[in-house]
Amino acid sequence: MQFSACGNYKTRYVDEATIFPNDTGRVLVAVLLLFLATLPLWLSPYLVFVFTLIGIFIVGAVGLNILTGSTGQISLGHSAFMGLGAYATGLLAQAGLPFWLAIPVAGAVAAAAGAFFGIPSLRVKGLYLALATLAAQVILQFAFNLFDSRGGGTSYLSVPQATLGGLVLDRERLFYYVVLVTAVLAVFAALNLFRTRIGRAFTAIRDNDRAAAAMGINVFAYKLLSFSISAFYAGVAGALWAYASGVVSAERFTLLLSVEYLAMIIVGGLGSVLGSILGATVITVLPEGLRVAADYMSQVLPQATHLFLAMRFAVFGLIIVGFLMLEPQGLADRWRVIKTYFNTWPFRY
Amino acid sequence: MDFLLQLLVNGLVIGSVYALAALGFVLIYKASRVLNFAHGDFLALGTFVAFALATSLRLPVIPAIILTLLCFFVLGLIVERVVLRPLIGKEVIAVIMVSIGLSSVIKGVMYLIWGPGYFLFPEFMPDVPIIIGDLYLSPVHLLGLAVSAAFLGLFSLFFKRSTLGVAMRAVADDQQAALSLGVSVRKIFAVSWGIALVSAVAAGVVVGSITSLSTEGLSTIGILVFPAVIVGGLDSVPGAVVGGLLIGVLENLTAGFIDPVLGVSLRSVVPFVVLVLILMMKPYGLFGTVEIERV
Amino acid sequence: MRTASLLALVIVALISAPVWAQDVPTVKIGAIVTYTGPTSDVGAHYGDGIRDYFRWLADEHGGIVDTNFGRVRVELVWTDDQYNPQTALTALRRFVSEDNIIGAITWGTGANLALMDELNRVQVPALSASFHRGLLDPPGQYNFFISTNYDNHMRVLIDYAVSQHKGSQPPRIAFSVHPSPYGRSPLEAGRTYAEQLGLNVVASQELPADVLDATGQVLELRRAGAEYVFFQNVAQPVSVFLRDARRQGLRAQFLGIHYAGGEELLHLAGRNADGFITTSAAVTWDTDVPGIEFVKALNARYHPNVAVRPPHYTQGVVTAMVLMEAVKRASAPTGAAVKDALETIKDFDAGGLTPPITFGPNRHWGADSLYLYRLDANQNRLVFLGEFSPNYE
Repeated sequence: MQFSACGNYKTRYVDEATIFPNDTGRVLVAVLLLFLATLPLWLSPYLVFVFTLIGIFIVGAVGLNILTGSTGQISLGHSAFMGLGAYATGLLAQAGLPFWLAIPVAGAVAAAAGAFFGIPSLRVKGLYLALATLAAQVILQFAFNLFDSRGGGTSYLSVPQATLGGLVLDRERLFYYVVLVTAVLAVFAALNLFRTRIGRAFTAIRDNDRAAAAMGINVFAYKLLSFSISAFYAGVAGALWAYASGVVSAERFTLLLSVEYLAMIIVGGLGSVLGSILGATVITVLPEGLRVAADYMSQVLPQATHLFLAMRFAVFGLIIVGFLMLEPQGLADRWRVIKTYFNTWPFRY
Repeated sequence: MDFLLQLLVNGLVIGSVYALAALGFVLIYKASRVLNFAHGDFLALGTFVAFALATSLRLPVIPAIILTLLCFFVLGLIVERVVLRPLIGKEVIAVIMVSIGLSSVIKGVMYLIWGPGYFLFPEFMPDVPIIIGDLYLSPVHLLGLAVSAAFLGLFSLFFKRSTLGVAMRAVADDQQAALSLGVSVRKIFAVSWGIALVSAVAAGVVVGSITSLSTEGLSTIGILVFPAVIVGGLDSVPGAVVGGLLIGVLENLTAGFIDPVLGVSLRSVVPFVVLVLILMMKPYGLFGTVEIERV
Repeated sequence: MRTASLLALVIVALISAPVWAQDVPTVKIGAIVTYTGPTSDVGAHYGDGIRDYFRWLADEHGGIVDTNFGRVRVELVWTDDQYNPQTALTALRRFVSEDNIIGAITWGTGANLALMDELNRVQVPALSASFHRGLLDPPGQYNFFISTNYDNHMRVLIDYAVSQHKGSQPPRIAFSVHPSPYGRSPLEAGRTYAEQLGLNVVASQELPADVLDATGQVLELRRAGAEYVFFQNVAQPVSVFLRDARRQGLRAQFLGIHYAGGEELLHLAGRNADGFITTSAAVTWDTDVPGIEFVKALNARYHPNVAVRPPHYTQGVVTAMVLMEAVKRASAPTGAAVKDALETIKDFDAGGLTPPITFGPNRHWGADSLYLYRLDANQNRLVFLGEFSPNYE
């Protein structure tokens, strides 16, 4: 049995930086991962696909949280970077690159674009910067749409299934493991990022960029780095998405998806890796759940179809608004409160 | 030459609509530092309400529009009170997100009531072009331009002359100072929302009568407003007007001169390219307040 | 009040649901259509057509159908894809793995291109509302559509323009398309065909679906002196274009493919649409053919407050009929069997609602011909010009 401290009794910075304070956390995470690994064995392909999507959006949301939550730069162009990764993957995969090479290369392509669109952060910040990323979204989306028309007769990118040494990683089951592994790597990379100089510099910039500059942090360079790391994550998510869905087309990477990404990190909790995971899960499952519910209801009651279709929009909006008003710190904070409650139970003070 | 002139005239007509929409957007930003992503949806909703009043209740067009404007002034007050006020002092991004959530709710309401189809305002004036030389002028366009100009004039008068308008400018300029002079900042916030929605609906009605009404089409104006306000400066009312007109003209010039060469429609993306360029060269727009930070 | 009664209905329906008889096996058909988002103005009619047909089947016959593999109950599962390919793909995976659908009916070009590989992998045939040539390339896969492809629609329109043309100079033509794979698909074929016929292509432009003001586009065509303008778009942007065309004095003959024209365009553009020529894969509402009574009865039964439907509603009903015909002919309740059955359909006639539909192992487009209509604003109806087939391929 492991005990956890009932307060902050850390005496060294190294302690402060540990991810797991004791073995309980390690064991829990290991059990959770093992459980997740068994999912394709007993879930239907559709549900496995939903979990695959959750994994993909966790990667993307963790990336956005590095930029928005931890460096304080609002991005409305995350889905465009994801799209860039997806298109790069489509081209690379068609050129015969194996998936384990195509995914990081796609990430790198997105990272380069992310750094480019981060350049306005030299001059502007805050909401003005948010609008620069909005422009990135619109412009890239336009380019994707144009790419279609230049793609010859097919007008979309077909992505072959990923293979590993002759084994086809089929989209229904095996590719889920690629996503799972990538998501775990992405999460741990992010957790570790915040233990380094880079991560601390990001936080310093978020909290006060002037003070950060005074401390000798090259604010612009670090902002660009944050933009490119975040876009790298988005690119990887796009690459996974390309493999998982088998086809890349422009209609997917709209402003709406960027907005959904923001919703993920806000519902989850800004600046928290755990929050990104929870948020991505909720925002992926919620519309799908609402859709399934609306579909079912309108099958039972066909005359009320429009009611249920409209409800999907309204309920999604209400949940976001309600969340921000009742739980502005996000799910991660709620989780912390619950954990503390049990950690300190029955002595709450 | 007349080709250019025609494009310019037309750009001004559409630009005046953007200007009206941008005006409301900037008002909200000035008062409460909120980027209102639901602006386009409010605009669309208002136009649909006016349409419903005019068709279902068979009101004449003008009273229907005036009634809608009143309703939306009140709606603005309510939205500010119920949704925005609890969020004062919260992070910027949270407030942005609330406006995005609101936009989703409004979309749901519109789909619920009107469905996905297209509708037409009842025609209230003949739409035969007036031809001057080689220039074709549509009466509906001219009326739209006149209405937009009238609204813009009214708003500028309001800000210059009325006590409330001056108080609003004071609050936007310096909240603390305004408070100390006895201006009720709360009231001003609420009124800003009310007026912003009125201007959005005015823009929507003008667009709606020039073209047609659809949930998707009208709410995209909410996105086109961004380049307009950035060109003018996020917190400048005259900037919004100039920005809106500029974007309208720019769109038309692109459609007239660049699109034919390329064969693809660049007009929807050019405003955003301009947005990026402006941000890189003149970050606070033509008229925006340059934020000077002191440590 | 309305909400309350709906809620009551929900409860009643939920309680009564398990009472249905369970003696015959159930097979399911999936529909992935667009009720919200881009193109939903037309998509909703198509979706209603499909759904009304299956509702009628369930209400009149309890959904019971006699097939080659015995008596089954057919059920429709459907969703709104919001014109988003990922949603369509997720829905298809849900329908395949949760509902074991044996056939699908789909809507837009984007979604269908996204579904192609998946349909082949899970072996479920789909009848799409998109007539994009790329869906049948390579031939013999799991995609079908009931009309001929967009390229041929365009060729028929060009033929018609040539036949109407007076004057010694070759006709000056222009294309105005939706900026998407859907819009651009007939562009290349149309251009090549026009050049073969010696026409003068003066412009090719894009007209976004959410366009509010098309003056720039109109002025471009006026300057280029276009005499014939061909649209591949949905009704709303075309109506904006037509209105601005009149305001700016662009006098040309306007022609559009299937989704551009029809009753919606007449409704939206009014007298601006007068004289517009449109192709259609299905007949209009006031056409006197044996099949239309059934379609009208369906609409009257489930949508008593909708008076007139564009041809896309009829198209939805016919698509559902064709798929059901294949289900009846199938040798087993599997997607592959339904595909084989679809390929045996020869000269399927839905009471004259569409030209005869024939499929074959390498022929997955249904009809070889299509209808041409001229919009007449004074009589507020579509005037039938005849049945045409392309002089090509």
